[in-house]
Amino acid sequence: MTTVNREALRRVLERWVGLPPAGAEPAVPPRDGAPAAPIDVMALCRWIGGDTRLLVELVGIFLEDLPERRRELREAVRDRRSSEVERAAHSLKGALANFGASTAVSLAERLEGMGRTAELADTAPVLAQFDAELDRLAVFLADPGWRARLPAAEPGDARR
Amino acid sequence: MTGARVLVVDDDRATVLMLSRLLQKAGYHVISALEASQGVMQAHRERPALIVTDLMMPAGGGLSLLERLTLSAKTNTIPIIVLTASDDPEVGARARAAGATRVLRKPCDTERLLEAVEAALGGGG
Repeated sequence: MTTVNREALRRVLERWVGLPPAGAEPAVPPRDGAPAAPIDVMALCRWIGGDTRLLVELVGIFLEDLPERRRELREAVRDRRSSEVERAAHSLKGALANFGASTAVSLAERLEGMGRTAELADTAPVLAQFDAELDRLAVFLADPGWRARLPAAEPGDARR
Repeated sequence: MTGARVLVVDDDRATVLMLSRLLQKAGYHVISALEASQGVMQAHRERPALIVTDLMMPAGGGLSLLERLTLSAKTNTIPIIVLTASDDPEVGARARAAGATRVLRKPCDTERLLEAVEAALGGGG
């Protein structure tokens, strides 16, 4: 009953990521020594089955919700509310995992762990790193240039 | 069981949209909730054939949802798939103990999720 079109997904990945589908490693390889893209397109495409229109919508929601989520986490850290640090970091981790944002996910995971164990003494440097990575991610996604790399929607994609 | 009603519960709007679109494309009728308590209410009101839920959410979260649905005669036969961003086996174990039919790690690929949905609805897998 699965409706995912593997071939369509493969074409999306080939055109967007520019990598062969078999054995592909980085989603968006660094160009000219530039740092790797903060998201893993392959991971994202596995989620959405190659529906690029949905992808654009998801990015919009993510960017819209991100400032409030960051504020929640920062305030929880500032106020030393460990369970709230755990929850806010976990929530961000889940959202970031959807995008295959592995660096940001691992930083969120560290903050989540600090919240879980109520050991918040060393959160400042991790939070600073996390903030920097989220800034990088937000800049990457807010740049319309990344959308230009999207292929035209595949036949059969949802049109809702 | 194409056409079956599936309730998606997650506090992340993007995840709800993603899951909803995926399930709709697979032919399911999707309803959704952005928090656990709302999910419990929806489950009682709409009697979905399946629930797909996040675990860590505000106000009680997924474990509370699982426990409340398991305790109610109106909802305790509904299969529940838990999607969690946690890789802690204890988390999965707690979810299963609270009534989860299946626990999957987020993000999970499309086919794996659809297979789990189909299996939970009794369609094999």
